Amino acid sequence: MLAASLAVNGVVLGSVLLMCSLGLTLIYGVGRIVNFAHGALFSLGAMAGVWLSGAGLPFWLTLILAPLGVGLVGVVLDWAILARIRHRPMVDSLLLTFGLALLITGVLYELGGRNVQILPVPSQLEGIVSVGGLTLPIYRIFVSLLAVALTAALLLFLRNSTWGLRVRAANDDPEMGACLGIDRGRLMHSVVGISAALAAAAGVAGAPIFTAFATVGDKILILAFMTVILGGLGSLRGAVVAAYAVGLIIVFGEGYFGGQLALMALFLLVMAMLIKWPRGFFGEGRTE
Amino acid sequence: MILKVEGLSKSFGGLKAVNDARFAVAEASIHSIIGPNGAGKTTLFNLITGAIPPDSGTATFDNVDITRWTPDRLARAGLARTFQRTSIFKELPVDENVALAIRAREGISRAVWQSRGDAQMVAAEARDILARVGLDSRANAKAGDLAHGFQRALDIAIGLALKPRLILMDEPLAGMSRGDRETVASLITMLRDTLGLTVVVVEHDVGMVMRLSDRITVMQHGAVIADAPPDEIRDNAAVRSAYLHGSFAA
Amino acid sequence: MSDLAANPALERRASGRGLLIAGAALVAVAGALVPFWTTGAPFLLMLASQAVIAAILALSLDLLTGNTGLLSFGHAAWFGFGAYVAGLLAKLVTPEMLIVVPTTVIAACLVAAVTGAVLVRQIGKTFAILTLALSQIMFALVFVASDITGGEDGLQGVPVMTVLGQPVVQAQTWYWLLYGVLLAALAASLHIRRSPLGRAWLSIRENAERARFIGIDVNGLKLLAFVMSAGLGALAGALLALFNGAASPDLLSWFESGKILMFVVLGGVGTLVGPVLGGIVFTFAEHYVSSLTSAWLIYFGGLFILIVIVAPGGIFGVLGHAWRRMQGQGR
Repeated sequence: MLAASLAVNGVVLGSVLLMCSLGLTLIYGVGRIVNFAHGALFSLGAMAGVWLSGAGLPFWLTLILAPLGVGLVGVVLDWAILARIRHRPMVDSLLLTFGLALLITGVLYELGGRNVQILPVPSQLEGIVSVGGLTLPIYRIFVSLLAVALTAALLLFLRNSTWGLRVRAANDDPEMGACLGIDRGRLMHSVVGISAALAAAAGVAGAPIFTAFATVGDKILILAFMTVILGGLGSLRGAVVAAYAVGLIIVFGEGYFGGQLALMALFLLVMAMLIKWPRGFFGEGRTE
Repeated sequence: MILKVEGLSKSFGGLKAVNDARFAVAEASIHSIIGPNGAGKTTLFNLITGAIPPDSGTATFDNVDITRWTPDRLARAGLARTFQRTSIFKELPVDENVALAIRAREGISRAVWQSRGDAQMVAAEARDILARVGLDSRANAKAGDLAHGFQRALDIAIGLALKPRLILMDEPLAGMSRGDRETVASLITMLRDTLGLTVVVVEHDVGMVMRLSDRITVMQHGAVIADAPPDEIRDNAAVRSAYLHGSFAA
Repeated sequence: MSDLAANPALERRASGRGLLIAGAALVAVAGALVPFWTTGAPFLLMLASQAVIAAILALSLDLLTGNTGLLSFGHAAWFGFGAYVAGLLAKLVTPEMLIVVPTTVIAACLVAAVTGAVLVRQIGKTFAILTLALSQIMFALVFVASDITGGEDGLQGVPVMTVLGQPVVQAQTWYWLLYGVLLAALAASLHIRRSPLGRAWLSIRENAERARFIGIDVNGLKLLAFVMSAGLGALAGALLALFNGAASPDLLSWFESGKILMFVVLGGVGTLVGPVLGGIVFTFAEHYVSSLTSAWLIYFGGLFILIVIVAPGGIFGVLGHAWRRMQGQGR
């Protein structure tokens, strides 16, 4: 019975990781940037959820407005900051997003993020359902479904829209993208915006489970990083599979061995994976 | 035959980039590999020099199987290469570029202490090598500040510092002005005539190849379609059709 | 060292270098005199000691990043590792510094050699991510072993150190000890920079592919830099724990890693002296800014971003550039 409920929680964590990892993957694919600020954006989303519902907004509205707001923040950050170093060496982009993570965390600290804040589960989603003797909290099911729905929507959008075509072109080959007349700067604004919004959506939806504080996204960031490496840097379907694998490993590890050891086991797994299959599950990760 | 390539093949996805390539290179000769764009010349080069592993086939250097050797091991065995894009250490002084290679060859790259004798030996040899490629007057300049043709000459000098017996050059004339081309071409001839080196060249400039080479291997669609001295290549029908209209009949 | 003597370009600059060496010696002596200036202000001497530790730490990261171009986002892992291992050894085994510190450094080098063997083979971005993860793992370890590490409360009650049986109590003695380690480490790093090994490292940072094709064992040398960097970082951590008599899990946080990166970026990657100055300046600045405002992380992050965008060579890099330009015009 423990195993079954752990499996459910693993899927929930995997779903949250999925929302974060997809954004990381997109930013990496189009801009070749590893975004160290992604965890801070998750925290920002969670905190924004607390502020908005504290202002009396219903949960549903919060779940829409917070990602929109953070998405806008993402666009502004890309336009104002990341765009300044597009043609610089890779290390500058790493340093810059790291600095952004520090800055956002600092701001969150000043806005009440030093203390753990609670975002209550909306009343409609309270309670549990029993399936074959297994009790499942409704809210956790909701979060998983939300993640799956958002992921499916994003993947469909990537496959069928002009925007998706551009993203895929730039992902395959940035120079080719430029040849096709794609304005990479503007494309990047939208990619960072959407990725930030996804991270924030994960933050808000996760807040009733993980609570909200300035560094709530730190652990998520580490796990999301492990996810994208396992799946192969830049591989979307790799990220999907890896997110659930990481979610399950962490939750089962925590259930049986304690949380910190689970993280260690995951790290060892990632190292082993890099030795054996450096390009991730589907062998399509980038190694340039 | 100092270098023998036997049945090297490599596919990327479904595409056979190099398909059962075979040829042999005679010692102290200039051997060119030509072919239209996408014929697999650079891939073949990367297979020989260990940059990527082949699917099948072997390369032997001086009767030793060197297939799948790592680049640093090849370099120590006497097989050097230059790159399509000039590849030098741009932020370092010109003489230091060459000194690095000399120390790597001598196995003293990891030294923390260096005797004065060693230092002078390295510096003197670096100056010698730079003099050979006509760079002695620029020994102290930052490598990145050199003109394009001189950077290519430095690239070759770095290769020479390894005291190779065979040097592979990937499009040494690419992107050069006419004058620079002549400089580099005479450098290549000098390598063979003065130093007795074997040079394998991948090159687009067919006119220059005809003039320089002792033997030419022609590739198309990943396969070798001809392998002969320049005069025979000129008259080869398959080669003519590979190069539309035989436009290179120099 | 001697190979440069044979280089006429550098001989030409010899007069400028003589001036530079004289200036450096002056600064070094001034640093050694700090305990005499701060006789009435014990706190200032303690801050100076912390700054010296920060400088050693900054130097240790520059050994990796400046020499090979690999950027570590988890260098605090080695700092914290050194602090906890040294603290525990002192508490549980012996307070003799000449045993504790070398043991700690060797342990760090061993762990770094094992993890580094995988890490240095990755591309730069994966390396950056994995170093961050590694530091989080070390952070987690503190809590796994909270029975002996003290967990959240940190490691307390590290006994007073002895050197050859003599207890080291006086703040001045501590300062000179730390300062001596810094000078020795800096001198060794500068020497290595100009040795064949240092040049081989630079060639990797410049153009790793070419370095491989001239026969340099790129991964082996990267690993060597990684291990040396971890060892010196752990040394800084060990000194901190013994100096403070305590270690806290904060030493392993990613803010700490960010701070170390900041020292190096502020001072200019690869300049060795720059990061040392960066560590010193930043430690003092952090102290005074954080006494003025609790929001120092905002200023810290903002400054970080500003430097990367405006002055990627670091503040000292920019100053050095201006200095060279002035010299150039003077000629």
